[in-house]
Amino acid sequence: MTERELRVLRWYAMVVGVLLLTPLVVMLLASVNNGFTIFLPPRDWGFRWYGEAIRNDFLVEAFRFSMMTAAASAAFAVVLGVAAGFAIARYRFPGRNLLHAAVMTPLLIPTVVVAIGILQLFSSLGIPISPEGLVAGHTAASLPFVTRLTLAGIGAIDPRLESAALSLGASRWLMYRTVVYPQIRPAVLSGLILAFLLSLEETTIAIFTSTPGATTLPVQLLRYYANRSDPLVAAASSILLVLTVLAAYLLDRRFGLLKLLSGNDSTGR
Amino acid sequence: MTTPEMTTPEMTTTEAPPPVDTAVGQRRRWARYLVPAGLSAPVLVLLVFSVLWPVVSAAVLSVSHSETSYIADASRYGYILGDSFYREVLAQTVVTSLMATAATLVVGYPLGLYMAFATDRVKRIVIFLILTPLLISVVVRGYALTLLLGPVSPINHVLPEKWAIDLVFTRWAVLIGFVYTFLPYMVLSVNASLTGVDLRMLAAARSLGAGLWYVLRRIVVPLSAPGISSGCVIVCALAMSSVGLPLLLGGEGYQMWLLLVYDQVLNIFDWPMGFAMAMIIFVVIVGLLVLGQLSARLLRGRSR
Amino acid sequence: MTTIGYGAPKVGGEPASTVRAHFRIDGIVKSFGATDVLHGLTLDVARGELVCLLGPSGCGKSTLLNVIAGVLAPDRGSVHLGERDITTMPIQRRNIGVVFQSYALFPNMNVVDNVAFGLRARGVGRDQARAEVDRLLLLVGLVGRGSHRPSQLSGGEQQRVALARALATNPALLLLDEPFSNLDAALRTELRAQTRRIQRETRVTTIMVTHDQTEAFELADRVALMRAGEFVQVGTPQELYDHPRTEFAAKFVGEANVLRGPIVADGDGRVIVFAGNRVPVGALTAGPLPGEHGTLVVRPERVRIAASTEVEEAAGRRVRVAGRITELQYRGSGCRYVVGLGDGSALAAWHTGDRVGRYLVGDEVVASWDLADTLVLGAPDDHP
Repeated sequence: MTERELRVLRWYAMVVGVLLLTPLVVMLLASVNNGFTIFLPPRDWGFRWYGEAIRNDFLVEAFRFSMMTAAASAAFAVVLGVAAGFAIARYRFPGRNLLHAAVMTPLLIPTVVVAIGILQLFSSLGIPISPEGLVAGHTAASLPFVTRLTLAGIGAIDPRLESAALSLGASRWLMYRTVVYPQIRPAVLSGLILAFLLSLEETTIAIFTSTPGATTLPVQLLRYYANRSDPLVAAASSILLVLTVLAAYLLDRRFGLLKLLSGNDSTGR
Repeated sequence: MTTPEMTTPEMTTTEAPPPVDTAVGQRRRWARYLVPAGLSAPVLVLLVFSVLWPVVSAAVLSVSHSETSYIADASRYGYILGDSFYREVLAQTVVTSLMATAATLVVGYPLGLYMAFATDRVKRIVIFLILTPLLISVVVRGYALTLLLGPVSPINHVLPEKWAIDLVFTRWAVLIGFVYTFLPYMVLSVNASLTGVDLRMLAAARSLGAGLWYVLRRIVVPLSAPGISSGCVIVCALAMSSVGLPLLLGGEGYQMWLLLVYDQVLNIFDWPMGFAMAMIIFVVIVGLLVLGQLSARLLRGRSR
Repeated sequence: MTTIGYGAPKVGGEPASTVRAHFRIDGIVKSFGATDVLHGLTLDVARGELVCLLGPSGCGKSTLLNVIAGVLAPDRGSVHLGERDITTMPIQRRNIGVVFQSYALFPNMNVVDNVAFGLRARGVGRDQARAEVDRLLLLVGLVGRGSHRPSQLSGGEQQRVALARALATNPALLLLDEPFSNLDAALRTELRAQTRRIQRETRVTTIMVTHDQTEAFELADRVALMRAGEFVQVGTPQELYDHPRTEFAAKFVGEANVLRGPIVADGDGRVIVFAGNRVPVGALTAGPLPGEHGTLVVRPERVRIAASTEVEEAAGRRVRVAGRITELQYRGSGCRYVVGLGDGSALAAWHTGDRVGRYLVGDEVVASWDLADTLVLGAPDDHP
């Protein structure tokens, strides 16, 4: 690629980037309408609907519920995923590759099928769908990401460090604590945060497993969207948007978004 | 949710051998399997309970006579596929998904090239802009689009009265929604497949006298073929199994298959019917995956 | 060498096959942000000549090559190939063949397609291109490997494919960027010789980048020694070895004894003083004046050791310095002695053929060399 061609590509990328931003900016604008109808650009500015959103019982409850299920599913995903990652990376046993493939299957099965499946199974077994089914579904959905990050993290550890520690007399436990853990901590941490964010925004499983009183925020927003035409949804969505973007920015600064989501580095190969 | 790396044809297994020989110090043969078994058991239990068993039991219910009886009865599949309305919606869903995939490829491929080859500072920002939406809820993204595409859209201030757009609840809104939402996946996929190509290679090609299009045609596209095909498969699969977007952008005006499933399960409460419909689209998606793998292999073999 | 009348590259001027150009760069300056990498480089290369850009890593040689190739644009200066000013010409119109360090072969094509790429890109028909490819594969010794992919080839084979590919379009200039550095030692020697043979046969003007002095000396007609973005000295390997212009040049092209001391007037001549010795500074070197500091350079293989008690008869005027052997390194083909001169400085002497025991550590000896082999330079360079 000559410099000129790269420049053209860059312009294209910037244009697309702006286009991707436009709907979100429009939504932010819509949320600062003070009246009951959405005008773009707004005729009467104000943050009134933000106040309404924060005071809205359903939304607050949904936010709380979303946070809790996200925390729970992230925690589970990390505990299970890191363990599995360890087993795959550090041990040889029959079925190792099968395990690896199995952990990745949630990516291959359409989320809808998993959602209705959980609905069916849990209700037939008498287990409450929400939050148990929801958490189960979200955990499974986050597993592949957490495991992949863990594998990458473990893969980056020089095995000779471990041998060196052991040969110096460290017990296996000490070796894990002082050599392995510090090196995989960033991977595990980023997996945790990623799983949390994924659960927060997940919609399909949530739609099918929500019950009155136990609804996640996206689903609640959907309900409101269907029934209202005022800026409440816009305001609530904007809050969620800003929080997510902030989290994404911090994640990117600390770990690199590109690396997290695709396994590649933005600095090259 | 799928990501590009996962369905790239080549990788499914890890190569790294265990660095510390865990057999050393173990007295009994089978004792060495204790730890990995212990580590993997919880995950397997979760997967069985959240994925395997649920899918199976939903499939089973879809071929049962009714929710309460266990008599095998696959007649509803025949019923669904025999009904012209359902067939039409299915066709519509597939066609729209394919159109969305093509559009996403066209828009996203140059972005993938940019991400793979650019070295400037703007790249960081662009990556952020393209990838962050993956973490934003589909509901938020879809809702924002309804504002942009609906009657209150600021675009309508610019356009003359009779060209005013109100695209919500039409196929175009759904299409735009798909491209908007699934673009990052395509970009990631294309980018991932180009890791083996570096600027030196392209410089070498140019030094031999090749123009830009020749280089793209003979080198870049063939090498990114796996990324293209896996990106297409992912986007198409996501589009066909998408619920939130059709709900927001299609709604009453444009029926998508999964809205029917949603209806059956959550409004009409005819679960067996809903599950059967879900299974049908599942089969279509799996067929698509297989096609994707085959085409990837074909493309690779043909690269001259 | 047969030439094919295929379409010329899309540029005005002569068909590629007749351009065996005289090549020139003039005042090339290049900076990356705040760092200046190239400080105004000028060089002429004759038709058919092989010039090596030699220098330590970071000296800018690869950057210069990239400017010549067209990958980078210079901030100032010009590049001329034959009659054409190619400074701002895009890569694909320069008619320059490049072999990168990593070879940059196209992984999705086999050897034949790789080599034929340039020809096919210019519209040459498949059969015609194939004939040319076969000729080139014969030239580089890869007949029969045509249908293999790069990943199936060894490093040496890949390198030869890259070379064949670059030569296929009959370039006016061939650029080689450390083409042997990814190969093991034995392969390197073999391929160096082969590359030199191919270059002589095709008579293509060539510029090669390397950090390996032996390689440069073996292949180059002339060597351009670079350091920190500048040409330190440009000349034949012999000129560089026997008449280096700076201490850096002296040390980079081979082992050198370097002794420093003040210059003092002595009759109507000058001498350099070190370790209690006075060595005349020849009138040949325009060098340092009395009162300044100088650097004396002499190659170890020119220094002979003799026992103090021996009377040494030798032709010509000789410099004699007394000292004591402090180190002895036996290298199979000879011995390297290090003679301490008493004031902390030392001289190395290389005796081909000596066996261990001829002289021992601790022996009082006299080191001597022919005055004509002495080089006196100015004060040490200030370069970092």
